Amino acid sequence: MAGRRGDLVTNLPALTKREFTANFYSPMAYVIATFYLLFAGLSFYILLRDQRDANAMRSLLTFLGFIHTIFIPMVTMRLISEERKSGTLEMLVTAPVSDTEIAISKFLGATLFTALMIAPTTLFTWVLTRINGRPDIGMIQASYVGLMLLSMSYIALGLFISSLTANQIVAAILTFVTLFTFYFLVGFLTGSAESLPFHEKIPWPDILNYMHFGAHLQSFGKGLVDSRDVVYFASVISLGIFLTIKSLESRRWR
Amino acid sequence: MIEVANLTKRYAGFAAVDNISFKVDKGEIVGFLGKNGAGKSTTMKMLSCFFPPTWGSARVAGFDCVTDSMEVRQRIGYMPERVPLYEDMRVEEYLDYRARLRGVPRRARSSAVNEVISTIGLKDMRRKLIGSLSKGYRQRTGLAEAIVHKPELLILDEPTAGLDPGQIRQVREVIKELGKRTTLLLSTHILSEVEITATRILLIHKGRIVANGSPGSLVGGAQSSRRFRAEIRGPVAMIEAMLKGLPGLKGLSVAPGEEWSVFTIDSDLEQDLRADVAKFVVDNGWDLRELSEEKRTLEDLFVQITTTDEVAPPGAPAPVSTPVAPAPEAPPAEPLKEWPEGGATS
Ligand SMILES: Nc1ncnc2c1ncn2[C@@H]1O[C@H](COP(=O)(O)OP(=O)(O)O)[C@@H](O)[C@H]1O
Ligand SMILES: [Mg+2]
Repeated sequence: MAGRRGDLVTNLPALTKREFTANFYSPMAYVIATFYLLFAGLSFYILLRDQRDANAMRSLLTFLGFIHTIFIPMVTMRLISEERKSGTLEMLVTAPVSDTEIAISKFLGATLFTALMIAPTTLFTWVLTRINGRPDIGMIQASYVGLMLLSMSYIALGLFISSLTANQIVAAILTFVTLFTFYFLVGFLTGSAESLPFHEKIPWPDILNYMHFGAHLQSFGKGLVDSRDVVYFASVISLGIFLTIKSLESRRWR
Repeated sequence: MIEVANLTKRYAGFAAVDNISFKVDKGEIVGFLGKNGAGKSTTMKMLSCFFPPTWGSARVAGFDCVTDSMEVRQRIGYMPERVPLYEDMRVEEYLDYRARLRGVPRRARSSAVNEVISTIGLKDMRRKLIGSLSKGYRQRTGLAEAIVHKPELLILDEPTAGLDPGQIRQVREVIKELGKRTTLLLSTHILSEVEITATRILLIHKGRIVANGSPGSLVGGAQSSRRFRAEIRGPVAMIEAMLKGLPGLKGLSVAPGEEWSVFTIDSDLEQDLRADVAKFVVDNGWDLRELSEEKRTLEDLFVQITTTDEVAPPGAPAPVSTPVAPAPEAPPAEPLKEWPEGGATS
């Protein structure tokens, strides 16, 4: 028992492994993954009709980023809700592991699963090489980085929302609504900033544009990994994990 | 091993655990007895660091459950009331995982898991999915999990709840064995459970500890009189008059029958009236069919205490705004409340 006074490194591998493999125990995961791949394949097929270069991949990944507002909530909904409902959360938090480890491991578990779900789409790049010869690989790679960062932001927010309720369905719907808001509504409002309150004093378009997921994806689509965008997504991810930790800790004052 | 001082947990508007204090020494097997809703689980959740008290303190092995929660968590094994387990894992896999979280080093892990599997009797189940286990084996898996890291303190919340009689017997056997190795705090709402397993009983009622002692001392201590029962054939009025003259008599009631009448005689603790009664009856030429002492059981006591609704008025209201301070001198672990007077009302 020596030398493990709740330090972050000791328990994280075990916890993350559990969180990752837990995905495969539910039939739901296979359903989600199957639908996801069918969907991605179909989209790629349709996109190929207009675009026969790296743009097809970029369009696909941008589109998947949107579709993830539906798929990620299905991955994250059970993360904490399920354990709250079944009571295993009590076992988890009374074991000598920190709330931070719990939150991060759950985040990593879902991230790995999502990466695994996305992975087969890299085959499309291979297809593209066969058709086109020399697609812009740098652009495709940057698009993947963008998609992963976006998905991880979704996961962090979904994780937090899952910590708020014991009901998985409620968690999924709330997460979807939140992601959809960030993805669409914020962008929509940017266009009509004139009608927002105090628009003379508050630079709404700048604020909204900064909050907007989509605005931070554009440069990835051009093949650029801009540190400002990375910082943005890293902030959203950190915020989600931080709120999750606070939510886990909240049993202390509830 | 456990020091609880003025522990209080308030939920909106009422105290689920109301200013309780007790101590448990190393090696004791303490039964935490109380009706449903008495506050057993709430107390155990605070001891296991699931949530902190509203007020007061709980210490395990010298460490505070709030400020040194990691130290506490490392030293305890805890089985919550519902025995939550990962249904999708296999028994052995789960135990290995939990052992790992509990800090059992890699090399010691498989032997620790094997040992606990044979102690608890899970050999045939080791590769089974937990979700497919019977209730009895689920309970055993929960027990195995709680001890796989050889905790100094084992906290079991209603470990036999929901089992059939055969399973209860088996789980009790296991618990008895565990009690030999580690300090054990075990809650139940079934009296016979603690009578069988515990060396000491903490009786909790409406969030307060109303009795604290060994099963024997509780029964003895609660008694302020002895009760005898005699079945006598003869003139009831005369017999009654006779009996009333007995030394140390505290109460007498008669249930006249057609032939045999039943006399219930309460006396001082020091008095054994049986010889006197027998002598009277014989001297007067009446007949005596039965003469016995009615032993008061823990059960009577349990019922008596937990059915009285008046519990001392709520004590000092929990000073919610005050920080959870180290308790002042822990009050003695003696019963906080005097036993209610008398036994069965005559
Ligand atoms: N989360 C909660 N919110 C409000 N009241 C609660 C909560 N949990 C338990 N209680 C109440 O606290 C009291 C004690 O509960 P508990 O400790 O579970 O009793 P026991 O384990 O002895 O049956 C009960 O009246 C119960 O209804
Ligand atoms: Mg209970």
